Amino acid sequence: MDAFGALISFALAVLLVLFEMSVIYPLPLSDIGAVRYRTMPTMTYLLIIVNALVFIAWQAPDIYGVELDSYRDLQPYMDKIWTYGYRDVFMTEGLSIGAFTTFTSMFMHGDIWHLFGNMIFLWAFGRRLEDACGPWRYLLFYLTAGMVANLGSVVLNPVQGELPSVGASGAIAGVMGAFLVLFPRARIQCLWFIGMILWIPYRAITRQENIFSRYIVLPAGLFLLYFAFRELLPSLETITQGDNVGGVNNLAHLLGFAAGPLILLFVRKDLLVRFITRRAV
Amino acid sequence: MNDAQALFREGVLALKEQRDVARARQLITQSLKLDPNNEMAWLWLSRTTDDPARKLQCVERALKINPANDQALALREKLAGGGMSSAAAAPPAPPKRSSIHDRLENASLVHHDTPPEPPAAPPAPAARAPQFMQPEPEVDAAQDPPPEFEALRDLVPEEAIESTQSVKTQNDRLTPEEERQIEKHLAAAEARLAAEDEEAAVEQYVYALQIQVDHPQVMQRAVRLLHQMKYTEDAQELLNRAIEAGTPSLAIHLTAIDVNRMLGNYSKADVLREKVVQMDAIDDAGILKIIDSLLNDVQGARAIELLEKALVKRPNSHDLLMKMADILEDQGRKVQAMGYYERAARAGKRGNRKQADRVLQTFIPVITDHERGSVVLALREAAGFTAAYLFMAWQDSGLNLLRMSPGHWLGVGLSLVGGYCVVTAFSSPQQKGLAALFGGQVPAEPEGGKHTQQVEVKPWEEDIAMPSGPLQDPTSLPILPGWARMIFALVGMALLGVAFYLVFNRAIPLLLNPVEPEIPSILDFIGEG
Repeated sequence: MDAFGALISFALAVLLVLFEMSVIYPLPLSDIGAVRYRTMPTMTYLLIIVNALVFIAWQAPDIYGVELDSYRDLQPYMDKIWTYGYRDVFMTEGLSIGAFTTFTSMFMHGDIWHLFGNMIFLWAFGRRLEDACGPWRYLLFYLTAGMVANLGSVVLNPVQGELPSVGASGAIAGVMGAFLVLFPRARIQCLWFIGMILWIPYRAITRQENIFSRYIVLPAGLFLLYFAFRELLPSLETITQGDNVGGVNNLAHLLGFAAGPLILLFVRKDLLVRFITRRAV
Repeated sequence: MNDAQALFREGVLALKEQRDVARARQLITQSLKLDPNNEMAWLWLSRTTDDPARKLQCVERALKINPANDQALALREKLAGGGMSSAAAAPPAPPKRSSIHDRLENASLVHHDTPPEPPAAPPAPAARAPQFMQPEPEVDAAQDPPPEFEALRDLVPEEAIESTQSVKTQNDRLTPEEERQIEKHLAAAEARLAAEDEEAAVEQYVYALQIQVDHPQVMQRAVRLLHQMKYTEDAQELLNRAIEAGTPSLAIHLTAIDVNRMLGNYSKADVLREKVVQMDAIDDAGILKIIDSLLNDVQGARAIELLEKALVKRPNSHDLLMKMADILEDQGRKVQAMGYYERAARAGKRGNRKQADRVLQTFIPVITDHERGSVVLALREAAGFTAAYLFMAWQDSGLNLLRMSPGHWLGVGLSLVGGYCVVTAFSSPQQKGLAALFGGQVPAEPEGGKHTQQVEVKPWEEDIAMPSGPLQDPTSLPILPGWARMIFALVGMALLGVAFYLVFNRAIPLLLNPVEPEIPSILDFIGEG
């Protein structure tokens, strides 16, 4: 397959994954309404770039750059995951690079679609948060939330030494939790195919201009609380049975989300004062 | 049946049955004011006078409308051959005309399918008096109607009486014949103007406007001409007729506003303004022009009302939002102004968004000196560092908080101190007492000054975004001198570095010399986080 064909295939795959990700549940794309970024979200861009580079330059060749004669050809990919992913034994027994894996695991992903999904969420919620914190405080919060997610997901998991955990989703869940704390009344533009169909009669009745719009706008509070609710039951299962349902670390998502209120330590002083005193201008 | 036809019928009855010539003349004359194209009315009018010249004049008008009218032809022939030599020899009296205002009255909101043909050539200017000033023709006939006119009553067909239809506006499509008629009237008007007969030109314009009440070209020329002739009220009436007929023309509305203002009819102008700002045809620049005119008249409250109405239709118009915000700010309503600036900033394109942003910079929320000088708020930020370091130390201690070594705790403690130093250097350099201790001075007020007014609102509501920006507001608190801030920064970062080493005192050796973990086969399952 030539390069052009590969590119077309990739683009089609992206569309297919977008559809798959948004057919049942809403996929957040951006926050809208009273959103204006007075600062360029450089750190959000940087985090997306670093996550992408780590995967493309370091992990992807082990997955997509080899002739797959057998699964064993994927062993190098496996080795990286099991060396730099997050496992409790690394801390308890002093293996690999120890507690530093909390950072390395945050920038690794299982496959390109894992990366793709996480970055969409980071893009949707991260920019406004960075605007409220400034880039460095935002970075510190992002890393802290990721640590809370990693740490909590192994501390509360009764089964020790199991699968390594990789991905930015714990940190991004923290960003979402912080977003809920600071901007509960914001509106999130989502891609949601079922919602799109359900919304058609409502739009028709309320005489909205674009009845067949593919976007659905949801209140941030509703979307984020629903996100937390979806993570709750699988997390309880992990806590009680020590299992990651379907290979997804829902507990890390939930704990990262719960780290959201920590944002009050990182948000800019003038904004914190406004938050506390409910004063503006 | 319309008014013109009713008057005409009453006039005929007055003449035939009541023999009231004066009343008949009055009624038919009124009918002709409303509908000057009723050839039968002209013929009946001729019966109300015994002046052969005037009789002939009425007949000529009827023939001008319908050259094939047998009755009129016969009557003209009879008048010409029956002692009309003196009348024929004398210069023809000017055709009966009403004033321009009367012409406008005639331009009723109905029209006939066959408007009067314009004359082929303009008459010589010298032969004309200022016709619009001439009195109504005095018809002094108190005599019985000639028997030859008896039959005329039956010549007015009912179809003709009912042949009127609603007036056309720019919303309606003109027939080719109507377009041709308008062109003819325009050409005739031009010819009249060339002959310096402005009144006759106006008459032609009025005829054209009977076909299409808001014909743009005709209306423009008519209004301009009337205004030049100092007949602005007549221009106003033409415009108002078009508006009452439902013209969609923005230009006509805007002109009507100007004319009404010029004539001191402010309430009418205001009603038109309100209508215009909600029209689809108007653009933002047009609305702003109207708003500016209101502001010039010191009607700020009304300008806000109209802008609110306009914004209902154009909620994302950057220029309207900016104008609204500017007006509100001028009135001291800063909270509302900020809301509109925010909306303008969101609605604007990349270029003009900066304009709203620049204004918003003057609305940057001001933290008070109390908050600037707060040590607690500075420690709050330092606590963010401490939290991060605590989680690092917790993991480094084998995921057991209780097993954290003194080194770990020292690292966590140092992170608080180091974080405080960094925060002091960068974001809280005006803490009370500290700056004065290091010889700090009160910073100069930034250029242009800043708003310091504080207003109670709900800051986290959706409609009011969280403002942001540098802390550039006037302050009376001294700020740490640059050298001191540099020292705080260096010390803080050094402490954070030491703290990092302490909280990762187990992991750093592993980072330098990793210990290979046991890695299972690829066939095992990988959990994703």
